[in-house]
Amino acid sequence: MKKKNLDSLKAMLLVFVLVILTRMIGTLPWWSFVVPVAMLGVVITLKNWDVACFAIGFIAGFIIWLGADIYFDRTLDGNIFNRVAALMSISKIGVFLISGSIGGVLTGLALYTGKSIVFNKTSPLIY
Amino acid sequence: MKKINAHFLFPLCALVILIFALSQQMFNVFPLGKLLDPFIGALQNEADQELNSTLSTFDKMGLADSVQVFFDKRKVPHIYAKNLDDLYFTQGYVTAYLRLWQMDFLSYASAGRLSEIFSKGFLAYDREQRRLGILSAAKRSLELIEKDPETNRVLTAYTKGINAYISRLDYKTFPFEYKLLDYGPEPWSNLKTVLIMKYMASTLSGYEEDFSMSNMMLALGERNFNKYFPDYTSHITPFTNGPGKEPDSPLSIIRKPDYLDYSFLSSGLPVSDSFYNPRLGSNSWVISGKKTKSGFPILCNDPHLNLSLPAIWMEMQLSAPGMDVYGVSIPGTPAIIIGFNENIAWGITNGADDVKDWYKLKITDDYKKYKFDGKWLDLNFAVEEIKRKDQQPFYDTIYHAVQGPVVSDRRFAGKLPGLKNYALRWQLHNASNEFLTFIRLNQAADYGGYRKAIRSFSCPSLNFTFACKEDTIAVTHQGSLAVKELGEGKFLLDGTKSSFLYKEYIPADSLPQVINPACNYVLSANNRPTNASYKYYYNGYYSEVRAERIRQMLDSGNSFDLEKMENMQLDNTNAFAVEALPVLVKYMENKDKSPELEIALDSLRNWKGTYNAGDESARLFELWWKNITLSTWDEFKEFPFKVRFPDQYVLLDLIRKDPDNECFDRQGTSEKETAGDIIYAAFITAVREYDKIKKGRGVKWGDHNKVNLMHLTKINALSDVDLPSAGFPEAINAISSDWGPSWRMIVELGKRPRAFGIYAGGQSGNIGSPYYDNFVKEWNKGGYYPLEFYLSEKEAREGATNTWQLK
Repeated sequence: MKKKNLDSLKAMLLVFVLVILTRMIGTLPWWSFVVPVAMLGVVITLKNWDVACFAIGFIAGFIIWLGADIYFDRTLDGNIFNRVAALMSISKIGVFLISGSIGGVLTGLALYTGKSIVFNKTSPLIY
Repeated sequence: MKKINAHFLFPLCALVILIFALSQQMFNVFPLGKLLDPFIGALQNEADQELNSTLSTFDKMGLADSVQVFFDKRKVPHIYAKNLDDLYFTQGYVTAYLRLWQMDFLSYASAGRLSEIFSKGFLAYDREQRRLGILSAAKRSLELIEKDPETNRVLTAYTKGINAYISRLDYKTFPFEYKLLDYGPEPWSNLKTVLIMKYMASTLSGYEEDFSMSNMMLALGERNFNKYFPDYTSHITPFTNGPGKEPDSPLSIIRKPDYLDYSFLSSGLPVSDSFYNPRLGSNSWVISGKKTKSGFPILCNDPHLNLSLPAIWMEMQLSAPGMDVYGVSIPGTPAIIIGFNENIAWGITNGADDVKDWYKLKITDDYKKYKFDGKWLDLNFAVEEIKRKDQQPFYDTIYHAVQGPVVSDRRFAGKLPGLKNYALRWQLHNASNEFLTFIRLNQAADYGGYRKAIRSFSCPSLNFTFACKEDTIAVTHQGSLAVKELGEGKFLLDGTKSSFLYKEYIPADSLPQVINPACNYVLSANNRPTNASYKYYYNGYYSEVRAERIRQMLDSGNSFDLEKMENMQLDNTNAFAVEALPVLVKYMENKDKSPELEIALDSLRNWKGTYNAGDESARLFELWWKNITLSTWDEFKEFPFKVRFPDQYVLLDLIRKDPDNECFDRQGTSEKETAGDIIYAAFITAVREYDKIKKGRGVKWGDHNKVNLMHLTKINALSDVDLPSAGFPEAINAISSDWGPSWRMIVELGKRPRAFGIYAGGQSGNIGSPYYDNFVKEWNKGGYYPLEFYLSEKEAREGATNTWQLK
């Protein structure tokens, strides 16, 4: 496997673990997951991994949010997203996608921010 | 070598701004990031875990003993406690679990605090509410209540229970509406409980028409005013003195007050329609065992209130030593409001009395003094702080005269600009303890207990119907009713004299009441409680049509059972239409009629006055009567104020007995019309309108009569709207677009009470829950649920789908 693919996969799995672990602590504010994700970004630079951070972060965040939406919607067996969809005058799938995008953008930005904080002389900065 | 890279600032800023934006309510958009977060946002409100898991235990609640809550399959909690403190604590806890946002919101609405929740649009509402004196009245009542150990103990335990639930919450478990509107619950207090009771009192007793009646008196003159707006007609169904008699006593002629003239009324500003609904009423009747199949009495009650989601009612059973009661409670207030126990059942209907008066003050331009009995008195004032979301608080100066608060003044017109510089005197302002009535009724076992319980009930005036197992049936028109001069309180009052201040109240024993009447039933449907021979003058906004229909139905049978009671509560017949139709049709007999008119008239001849969803003639009758009313009172159109038309029975009597009356003469025509001409012309117009509607959305009653169960925020997406429905405000099944039979209950007492009931809503206030509106469909169809009144904890355990244990 190419180094880039392998690094991306490692990064994405770590994002999954970090975000889900952070979200399990109920007392933290809803956006708290961006902190460990940004720290992961720093690690990525330091470790010299070859990762397109925003893209990988976005995909991971999107999958987590959307997955959690679908999981809770199914298991809790409720009706709330239908009401929220009606409230926003869009379809329920639209609500899922907006929710997923919020997760994606925040995670992507956080990872990218973290990665941008430090220079690593040994590799050029990838924007 | 590594160093900090300044380029991270751009994505960091973007991230921070985004998080900030998604956490806030901006541009009227709810906080999207938080709300759509799957881990703590709206989705988590679907987790009705404790309503679904078989057993939930709540420890360290500070209870004296353990309490069991058994939820039956409709999620009605049956609370079993070993003492009253624990019982009311748990009632508070369970109610908060199911309905926290609703009760919290209502307490804000009642106090005039909505600006704390919404950043704009509610300041005028809040000021109006404060100026009406609701918050200060609640504070006064609380002081009184705290002096009564029995009530204080109940309210305090209830508040503790609610707070025990609130302290458990975090953002994830906040009710959905808090997330949507971006705020959180504040601790509950006894004051909030009182505010909810005052909110109900204001809803039921807020309507009055003093301004328009004063104008009518001046415009019509004494003779016509008394003819068109009589206090008593022959169409009343009083529960105390038997059927109505034609009032002939000169004592019932209302005189124009001396001070009332055009200069008195010269504010020049219009008065908008009352924002209270005069038709919020109710039906209740009780049939003695002598008239029922089982030999035991049956009590029925259906209060007509605003239909909202979450519903105003919540069912529950409360059981502790000395008390075991089932019924509906109002979230935010303790005890059962309408219900039954093993021995008694009770119902309530609005007394519909006028307990609200306006006094015109003579105030100096600088608002420092006002004239009273020839002297200039200091005009008191209080500054109310209205806190606002995202803004500095607003300070409102509210003036007070001896009569009460000045609602509209130089700085604030509100909804009542025509009543500038009038002081409001409202029974609701007085300190009162309505809770004690319900606390005692819940434990009452006989007529004596009922009488003792209702004595303290002050505002609004209510009719309390009663039945007990031993077959005593009764109804009492209970409330603080001032002793008034004839016609007093019907018009605006002169605020410069102390003689217009009521000083006495009708003694409790003299209030209209009846026990075990010879007809073997009692009824109450917001009708006038007495006929003209009652020794006190009182006025109000009574309706007689439903009472008349109930009387007819109860007179017509002798072996009533629960099924017949259901049919009665769902009866869609308008007794007025039944009475008026033959009179109107007779006027049409000798007139020229096109084939279309003939067909339309035939359909009405075959119509039985019913407003079933499929009825096509009801709409035609409505249009016909509307046009008759408008053409008859067309002279009122010229009045420069908001007019109220005379009662429909007054018009019907004029058609029957005085068809040549001047009111039938149309304005702007040379010939003199009579009732017959009006009726004929109105029919032609009605048929034309009817045909147009028929081609459009249809003329079936259900096409027209759509019910909306609006969420308290008035957001459509959270409401159930446009439900085609049977019923009519003047029928027993008094359904209208946004109010109607909010709770239907039928109880047959006996060895074991048998009861059926339903309300428009569901037990849970959580919009994500399947129990949010699960009764609505059945309610709209006219269905009932058997009410599971368990006689022992063992029975409750066996009937439970899930159980809570509180310690």
